[in-house]
Amino acid sequence: MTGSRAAAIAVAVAAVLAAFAAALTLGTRDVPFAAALGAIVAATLGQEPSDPATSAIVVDLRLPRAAGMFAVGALLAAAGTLLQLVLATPLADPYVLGASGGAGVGALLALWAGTSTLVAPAAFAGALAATALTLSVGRSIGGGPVHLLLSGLCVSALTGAAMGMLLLGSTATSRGAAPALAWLLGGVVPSSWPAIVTAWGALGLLVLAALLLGVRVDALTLGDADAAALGVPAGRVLGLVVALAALATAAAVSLAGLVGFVGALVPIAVRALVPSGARSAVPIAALVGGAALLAIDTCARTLLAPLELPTGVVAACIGAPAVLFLVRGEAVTRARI
Amino acid sequence: MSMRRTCLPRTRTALVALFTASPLLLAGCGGDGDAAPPASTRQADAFPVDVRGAGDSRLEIEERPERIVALFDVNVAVLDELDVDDRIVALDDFAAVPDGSDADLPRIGGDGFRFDAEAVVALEPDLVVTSTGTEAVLDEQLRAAGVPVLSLEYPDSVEATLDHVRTLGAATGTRPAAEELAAGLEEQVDAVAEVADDAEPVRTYYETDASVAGKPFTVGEGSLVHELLELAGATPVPAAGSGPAPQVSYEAIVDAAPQVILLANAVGHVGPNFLGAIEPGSVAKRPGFATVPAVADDRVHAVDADELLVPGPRIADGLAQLVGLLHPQLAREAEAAAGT
Repeated sequence: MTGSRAAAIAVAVAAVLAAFAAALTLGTRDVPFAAALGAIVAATLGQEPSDPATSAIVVDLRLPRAAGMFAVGALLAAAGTLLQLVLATPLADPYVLGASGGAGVGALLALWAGTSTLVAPAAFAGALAATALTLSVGRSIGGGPVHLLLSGLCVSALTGAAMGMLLLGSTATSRGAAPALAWLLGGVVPSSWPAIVTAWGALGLLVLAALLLGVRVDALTLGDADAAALGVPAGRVLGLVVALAALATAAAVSLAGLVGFVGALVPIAVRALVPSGARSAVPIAALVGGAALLAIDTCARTLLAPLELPTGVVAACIGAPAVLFLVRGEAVTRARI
Repeated sequence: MSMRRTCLPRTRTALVALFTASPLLLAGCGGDGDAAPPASTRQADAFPVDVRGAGDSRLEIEERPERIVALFDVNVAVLDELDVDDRIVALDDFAAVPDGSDADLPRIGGDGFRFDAEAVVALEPDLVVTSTGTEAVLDEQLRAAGVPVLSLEYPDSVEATLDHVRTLGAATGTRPAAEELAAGLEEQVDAVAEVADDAEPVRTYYETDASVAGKPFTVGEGSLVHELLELAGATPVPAAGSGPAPQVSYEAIVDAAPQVILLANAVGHVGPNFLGAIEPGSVAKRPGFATVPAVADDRVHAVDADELLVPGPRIADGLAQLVGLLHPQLAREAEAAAGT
């Protein structure tokens, strides 16, 4: 690969390491990096920790949260990149085909029914169901990127209305509207390791798919006619990529609710700064998105500690101006994103 | 313990003495909601009286109210103690019926914060007692219809609780009883606090709400429970600096290593309208909590916050319960002190 891409990957990896280091060391109790690593190693080996409280904070609270948040950021950024490529517009993000609305309906239904353990699976199922609806309706009206986007718009409107009704109804339930609102604002709920491992699995799958399908995805950006001339079945590739992106998005929102910004703006920043095809853009976006969301989440939980701000809100406040600053002017047109 | 506390014998002499002394007594007391009679007050006449309500508003009550609409337990409980029961003509949906009132008292709303202003006006009350929060949904309509409304701040300290009692006494023409009640409560609270004075302070985490996982709420400076915890010999942790109901994180709790955890949101110890009650056993399962001393020593307790840790006639009982939970060896002494 070219020098600039290698440099980009190196920078991204460094950012990831720095973000993890910050996430493990910073908080109500600042833990030196060596001590944090020591606690994690001791816990993995099953040894008794020298300081149980510090070990509990690092291993039981910060580590799962960091692992989860990184996976969420990486999944959303990777899915966003793929969708921006196959839908041929920088305005696409993982939620544009209805995944967020579907997940929201699923999660709010679970909360309305009074159960918290079913929220993640319900969100996952909802995201997939809504995307499937978008795909089928989109195909029936034409099947091209614009048709999918239109269909996604409709499904988002419908699910948005359903979420509104569920929110109104939740004020009358035994838990009130607070858990529903917290989920909608985005941020990690204390997650179990199985859920986090599933998210990492989905991430691996997505990156692998990007590497295998990358060339075909790039062909789609040339337009249907040219893609066909190259022997690439545009419709099938589009459908496959949308399905994979939906899976990734579903895994992400089921872990952390509706976190915005990462899926929309990190891909734009990456593609503007490191012009490249899908095979490089997706993994780099995953690294950058994961690092960015992890850093944002660390800010959200430390800025006004012990008060924890909703991660999705902080992501929008910090991330949006940052990306606008990065991609102003020439960079956008030069990259033809 | 019944809500009717034993009072001093009500002899004629005591009554006359208190009536005569009341303007001097009240002039010597400070704080919100205190009835401050004008300098040229006619002694021994309780009315007309100028009563201070929430936010420095003033209400002039011309005659002794005989038809009172009382809203919210915090007010009804005090009126019950002041023997105003027979003058109450309506309650809100949730308040407990005072002992001396008709069990079928009309209810004029409160569910979902919707009140029936027309029903209130139709009852022709000469005083409506409410708490802050109902201005837009009730107070304005009532005042427009000419009904006198006394809106009181929800007391957020022991001092405010006593002033709340005195204000209701002034408003209902029961100043002597109110003064007696307030003085008695103050004495009981002081007695219980003294029991806990010499005990070693206990780091205590008091949880009010955990309906959003990972973001529980506790009590902070400026809330009544925070003051009661300190009086009971507790150091409330984590020290969260923002207001009377701050949100804290699991990490902050684990870092603070509380020796006792008190739950005001436990299933079975909250009212039917409480949102998001938790099982006390679920606290030990929160990530990181295995290292918390309170969990390791099995000192996670539910408290009946709605009944006892509210500003009102049972405040000393609530304080005694806290002392008993924090310093078990002092439980009996504290209970005895609350009963004086």
